[in-house]
Amino acid sequence: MLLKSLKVVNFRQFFGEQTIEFATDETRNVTVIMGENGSGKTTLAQAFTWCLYGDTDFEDKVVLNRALERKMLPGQEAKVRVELKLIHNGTEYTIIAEQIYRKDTSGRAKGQNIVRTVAYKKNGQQEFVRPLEVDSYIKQILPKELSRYFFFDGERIGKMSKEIRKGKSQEFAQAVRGLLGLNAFIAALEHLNPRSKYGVIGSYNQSYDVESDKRIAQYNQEIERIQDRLNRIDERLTELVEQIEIARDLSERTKEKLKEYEETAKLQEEKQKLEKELNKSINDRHIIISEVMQEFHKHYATYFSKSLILKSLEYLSEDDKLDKGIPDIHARTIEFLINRGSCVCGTEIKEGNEAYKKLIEALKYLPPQSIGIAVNQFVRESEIKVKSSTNLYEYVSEKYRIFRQHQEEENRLLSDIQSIEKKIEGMEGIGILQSNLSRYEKNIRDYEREKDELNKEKGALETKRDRLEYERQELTLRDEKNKKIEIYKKYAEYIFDELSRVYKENEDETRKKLEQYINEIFKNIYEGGLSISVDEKYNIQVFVDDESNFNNDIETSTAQSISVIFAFISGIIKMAREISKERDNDNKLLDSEPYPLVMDAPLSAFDRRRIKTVCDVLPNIAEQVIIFIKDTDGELAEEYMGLKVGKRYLFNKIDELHTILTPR
Amino acid sequence: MNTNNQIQIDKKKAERMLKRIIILEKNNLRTKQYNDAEMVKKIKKIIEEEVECF
Repeated sequence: MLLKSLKVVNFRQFFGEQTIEFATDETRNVTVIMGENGSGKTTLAQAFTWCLYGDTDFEDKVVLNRALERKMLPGQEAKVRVELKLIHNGTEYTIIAEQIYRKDTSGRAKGQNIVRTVAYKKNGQQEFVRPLEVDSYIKQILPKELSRYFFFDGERIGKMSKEIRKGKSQEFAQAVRGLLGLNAFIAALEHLNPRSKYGVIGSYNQSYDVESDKRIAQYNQEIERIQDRLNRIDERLTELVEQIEIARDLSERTKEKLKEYEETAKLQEEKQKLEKELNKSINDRHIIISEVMQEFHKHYATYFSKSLILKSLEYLSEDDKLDKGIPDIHARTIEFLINRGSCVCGTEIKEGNEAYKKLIEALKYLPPQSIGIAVNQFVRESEIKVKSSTNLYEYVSEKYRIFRQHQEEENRLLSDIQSIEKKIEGMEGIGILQSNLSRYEKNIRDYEREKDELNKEKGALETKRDRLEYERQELTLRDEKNKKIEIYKKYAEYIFDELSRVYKENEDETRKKLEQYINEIFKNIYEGGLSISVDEKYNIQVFVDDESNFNNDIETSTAQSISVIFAFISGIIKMAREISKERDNDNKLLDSEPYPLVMDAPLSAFDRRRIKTVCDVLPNIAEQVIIFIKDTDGELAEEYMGLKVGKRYLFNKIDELHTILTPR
Repeated sequence: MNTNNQIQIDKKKAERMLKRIIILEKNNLRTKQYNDAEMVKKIKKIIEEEVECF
């Protein structure tokens, strides 16, 4: 496949119609499109996937240019269009994706369904693919499962690295096999497929002349019934294999999490201890506040009036400031004694006598006539109050010191708790993990049991089917017409078996060769004693080149990950290109198509030396290289790719909503 | 796959059929000329021609 041009109309920040022609020359096969951050590099790279598959990786699925959207009036329509011209298998295709947006009364532009059209040139005439076949055409040109590897986003490296390391789907493996030239085998096996009544073998089974012997029809019916059941068993077995794999993967991951949880449990315990300490400290602090408040309420008046009281006491202590009152004796006491006529000592009190006069004199110093007694009482009480409130300041100071200590302790505890929380963030409870693990393991056991039972049933049914087919053959061979059908069918079955065998051999060989290419490219980009292996599902594993560690898949750094992905993609492209070069040889069994490599910000994770290596390797491996790159990396890429660069463009960012593509 | 001795397979013929079928599939992948049902018919035709050929 060679990409010829991409035309975008009102696609995100590309306002109006803008076209980019790609370098397709064999010797100058690199197109460099440079732009600053946010100028639209990723958008243009995503325009390919939007055109081919009607979707983007953007969270916002509205692709209409925002400036145009603002200008639209309610009820007005605008169209987004992306047109991709490419050559695939010697045929020129034009793939168009269009989406109409209509502005509603709330001022929002809503997009209708995306409509994709595929046109191709046949004998100079433009032919259109029927709408229902658009997806299958695009799948043959570039399966979606593989598109992300050819339309490669450097910023998604982490995710891609995980994806290629494990858990890829059957579709992915099928798509890679297709690219590696095994499509003709896959199609032939599908057409011969003995499991389908519409395949070659199935249709021979349907075409026996049942009039020659009535029993043939009965055999046909019974064999068909068994075959249907076998097909259902096979489908279920495929499902079970996938489910077992998923459950095993989940079980492994849960075990790993539980292992991590051992550490987490310790941290959790520590956190609980710290939280307990924190709560105690907060509680103690509240007690301090309450105690201080209580004490304060009790003594604040005295405390704040203390200086005044002291001054009063000082004043009252001065001579003659107080009269000579008798403590605790009231005027009524004197009146009582006078009325009684005798003192407490027995002296007679009679009006005009000495005792009487003394008592009348004393009345002057007693309340209510005199305040001396009240003042004396005040002095006594004040002395007690002053004495008792002297410690309030020291008391509050001491409590405040303890309060501050608690606050500091709480800050330390909070910081420790937060750092533990960060460490255990996302960790589920151990109980949930353990119950999940039991569930996964039970599922595995159940699936395995079901698989064994189905395999037993399958074996018995196959034996029965083979016996019935043998018996039917005994009958069909007696009739000339049916005998011919039997012979054709035997050849079809033989070819199916042979094709399956050759396919398997070719697939193994192709995969080994792919592994070799990936390793060659990987070692070229990344030196470091690592090797890559490719399994049956085209999953990648990275190993240390040391026999003792050979079974351990190792964790890779970002630079290693990106090198692995480059090597993987380049390896596939190299093989596909090599196979396609032999296309003219009609006798060869494998057939493939060279593919371009479209890369968005591919070099950002590399250092200068690796950028040079990648720039040296890629244009020689891929049929065509299209790079969307920021200016600094772009200058380096252009320097290193030199004469390989055939077209140069610049993203001219006018503002956030407008970018113009200009040739350089 | 069921096999028995009553029908002998001529391996050279089978090999020729296999190659013709793969070439047919390769070409059809390129041209998309025939749909699945037509391809089944074409493959059957190859088998029948080769069997009849001496």
